[in-house]
Order: sequence, then C-alpha cells, then structure tokens
Amino acid sequence: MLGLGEQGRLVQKEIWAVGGGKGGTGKTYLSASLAIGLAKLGKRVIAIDADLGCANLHTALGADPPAATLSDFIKGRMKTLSEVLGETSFPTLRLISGAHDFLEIANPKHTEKMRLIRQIQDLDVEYIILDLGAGTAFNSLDFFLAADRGILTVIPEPTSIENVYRFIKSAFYRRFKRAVRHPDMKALVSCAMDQKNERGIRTPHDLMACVEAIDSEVGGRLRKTMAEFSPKLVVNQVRSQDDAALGLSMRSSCSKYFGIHVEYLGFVEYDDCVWRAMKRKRPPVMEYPDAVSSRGTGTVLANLLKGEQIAFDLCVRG
Amino acid sequence: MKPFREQNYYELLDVRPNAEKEVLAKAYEAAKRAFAGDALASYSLFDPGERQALLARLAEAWRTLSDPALRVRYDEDVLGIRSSVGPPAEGAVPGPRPMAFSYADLPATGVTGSALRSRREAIGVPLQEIALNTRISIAYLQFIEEDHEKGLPHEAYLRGYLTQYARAIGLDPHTVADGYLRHLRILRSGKR
Ligand SMILES: Nc1ncnc2c1ncn2[C@@H]1O[C@H](COP(=O)(O)OP(=O)(O)OP(=O)(O)O)[C@@H](O)[C@H]1O
Ligand SMILES: [Mg+2]
Repeated sequence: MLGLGEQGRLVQKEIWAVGGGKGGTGKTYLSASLAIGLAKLGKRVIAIDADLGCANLHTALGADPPAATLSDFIKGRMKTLSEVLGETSFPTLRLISGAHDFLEIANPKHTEKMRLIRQIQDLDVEYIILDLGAGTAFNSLDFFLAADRGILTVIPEPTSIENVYRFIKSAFYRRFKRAVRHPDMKALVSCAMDQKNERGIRTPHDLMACVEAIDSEVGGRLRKTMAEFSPKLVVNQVRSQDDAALGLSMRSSCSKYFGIHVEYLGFVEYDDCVWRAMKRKRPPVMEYPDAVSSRGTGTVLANLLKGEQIAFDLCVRG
Repeated sequence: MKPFREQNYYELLDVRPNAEKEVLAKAYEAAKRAFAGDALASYSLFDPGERQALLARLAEAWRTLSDPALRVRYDEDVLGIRSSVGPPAEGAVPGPRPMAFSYADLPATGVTGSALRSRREAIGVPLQEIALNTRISIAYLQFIEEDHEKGLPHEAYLRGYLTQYARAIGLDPHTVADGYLRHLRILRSGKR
C-alpha cells in the first residue's frame, strides 16, 4: 500500500496480519518475531495487538505493561491511535497494546472497528504487524482482509488445519460479499456460507461457477477477486520432514478443493527455546538468535521481504 | 488456482510442463500421500467419492506423463505444446525441488518488463515457445516485456497471462503477477 509520509513523500507501507483460527498456534510469537526482525533491519515498525479478547503481544516483545491500550482508543478516551503508542526496547519498533478490560471491547461495534482499521491504515510507519486473536470471528476476518499480506499460522494437528481451512473460506466469502452489490448476489453468498445449503455450493469455486451462470460480468469481477486473494501460510512447531511438507500439501489442497492459491512462506521448528524465553517474558529471537526456531522465523521474514523487495525497487525507479 | 477437475496433468501434480521424469515420479508419490484418506492436509476437505475421483485423476496423470509417447500426445492434443520433454537445454531451470517455497528463485531486481525479458533470455526460452505453450498472443507477451501499458489487456486477464508467463520462465507466478501489476500501477500513476 502506498501512503503519504511526514513530508508528503510517497512511502511504501505494508500491513501484515497474522491469524490462523486455532488458539496457541504461535500467532503472537510469529508477530513478535517478524516485528523485531524488521526493527533489526532498521525499519520503522508498529506492532498492534489486535487480539481484542486476550492481549499478550507486549509480553512477547519483552515490553512493559502499557500505560494506554486499544480500548482507550476504541472507547474514545483517546482520539487518535498515535496517543496509545508505546515504546519498546527497539528504537524503531513501537507497540499498540491490546485491551485488558476485554469484556468491554472484545466485540466492538462495526463503526468502532472501521474507525480503528482506517486509523491503522493512516499510521505513518513502514510496517504494521497485526497480531490477531484466535477464531474466525468477524473481528479477525476484517483485520485480516484489511492487511496487504494475510499470514496464517498452522501447527501439524487436525484441529489447527481444519481451523485454517475454515478461516480461509470465511475470509474469502466475506471479501466476496463485499465485492458484490446486488442483494440477490449477497444472498447467494450467505447461502454458500451455510455448509449444508440446498444449492450444493460447498467451495468458493462452486460459488464462483454459480455466480458466473447468473451474471457473467459479476462472475468475471469475482474471478479477479479470487485470483487476488492469496493467503500466506507458515507451519509452526514442526518436528519432522513430513510436518514441514504439510505446507506444500495444504497449498495443493487449497487449490484443488477451494480453487484458492495459498503461498507457503516456510516453517518454524518446534524448539524448547521458544517457550523457555517466552516464560521469562523475553522475545525468543533476541534470547536465542541462532536457535533453529529463530532461523525459521528469519526465513519466513526473508520470504515476505523478497516478495516485497520487488515492489520497493519499482517504487524507487518508477 | 483451479479445482482439480479443471487442472491439467501438470497442475494436478504441481510440476512445470518441462519437468523431468524423476521430478514427476516424486511429485506423484507426494500427491498420493497428500491425498490419501488419512492425510492430515486433506482429510477434512474431500469426501470419499471426491477423493477417489482425485486419486484416479492423479493416477491417470502419472500414467500418461510417465510414458514418453503418451506424454508427447497429451502435450500436443491437450496443451498445444510441441515437445516439452527431452534433455533440458544448457542452463535450463531445474524442476521444482520438493521443498522449494515460493519466492525461492526470484530475481533480486524488480519485476519490470525488461527484467522479465532478461530472465527469459538468460534461460534461453524464445517468446514464440511461450506463446505456443500458453496460447497467449505473442503481441501481449511482447507488450508485457516492453511495459507497453496501452497495449495490455484488462488487469483481470493480464494477471492470468502473467502467471502463465512466470511459470514458463520458472518464476513464482504470484510474486511476478503481483509485482508486475504494482509496477504497472506505479507507471500509470507517474504519468498522470
Ligand atoms: N516453534 C515453537 N516451539 C515451541 N513452542 C512454541 C513454538 N511456537 C509457539 N510455542 C509456544 O506455544 C505457546 C503459544 O504461542 P502463542 O502465544 O504465540 O500462540 P497464539 O497463537 O498467539 O495463541 P492465542 O491464540 O492464545 O493468542 C507459547 O507458550 C509458545 O511458547
Ligand atoms: Mg496470541
């Protein structure tokens, strides 16, 4: 995403969201590792704890409990997001902490959420990392869809994999529904979201075929939406070669079943260093920079950056 | 990008059209594992009937592509490719490694028409061959390499062309498509 920087110059801004459905798959750990990795490269980064139910990103970043949090912003006690920005021990990495009085704001109103997303998009910074909560609630989906890159963490366990598939499908339908205007089309998407719908639509691709049969022009637009929807996958807590290959089979399954292209960014091995550091409230990538897990998150970051390097080079030249 | 019923044999096996036989064999083994009834990555998606249909398609893909004569016929009849098999040309891109990730073989420079052309020329793939294999008009391929914005089709079609073009020169299709479309948008906004 291109935005205007402080002096009105064009800056490259990227929002990365880390989600994944199931709880405890390493979303917070990966968010923190990516944010720190970028900061170590000298990038200006803001990490946002968008887990509105259970905030703990500040701990994973080794930062002190924040003075102000997202709930101060959502509840209007602070007018702008920059007022709730907190410092970390990295000069170029700042943090917006999640809410603690979560009962109050775990489910913000739609308007509150949209105001939040707009302000996130307006932050003057190079990278924004969003740590999403577990589950496929609309909160997570909307943040995921607002990002330039949506990253999903999965661990080699059935429930985690099922959750990732459910997340991909829900996110896609939500995006689809926004892209169509006609009430009949919106109704069709709602119908498709019900797994046992009478039209027999079970996958995004079925839905597409159905829409194309009704209105070829809308169908073409949606085909484009589908081609542009490309979630990224990270397999965490890998213990074997088979676990690492899971990302490839999931990528293949998604294209064969849903008709959706998923990119596999890499894997992170299961590593005792991770929880040992987290227990001491220290970021694993700082405590153990040479551990296999840190190398794993490093590869994921490098792959994300290589994809982006291209655009940035163009930005300079163009 | 396409559900399995619409995928050609190469797409089914997740390999490039010029993949050598050993690569195909590995890919087939991996696919059989990935879509077996108890496979972690797919058990929750396919019902038994669909799984059977998919495994049958995979077996058919392997039977055809592992037989040189059948493969040549398939390439010609179904894909309209002259002959993709045979010894790889000097400096040709190797087939995908089983553990390769997207972005793995990206050029470090930007996705511009000229960067894509240099890559294509470096691996010695003539434009005519890509046109033949992908059935994309050679004019469009030239426009892509020349950054000829006016001549290029609508983004919805262009994306498809770019992904096919990227595959043909052994680059990650999505990265190239994303990168090039971004490049194009920047070119266009610069002119305004
Ligand atoms: N690669 C790994 N090796 C070992 N332990 C790990 C690894 N990744 C994460 N963990 C451990 O798993 C636990 C959950 O990680 P984390 O809090 O990042 O998950 P989460 O997805 O953010 O969870 P939630 O859904 O509750 O927000 C942590 O205790 C962490 O130490
Ligand atoms: Mg978390």
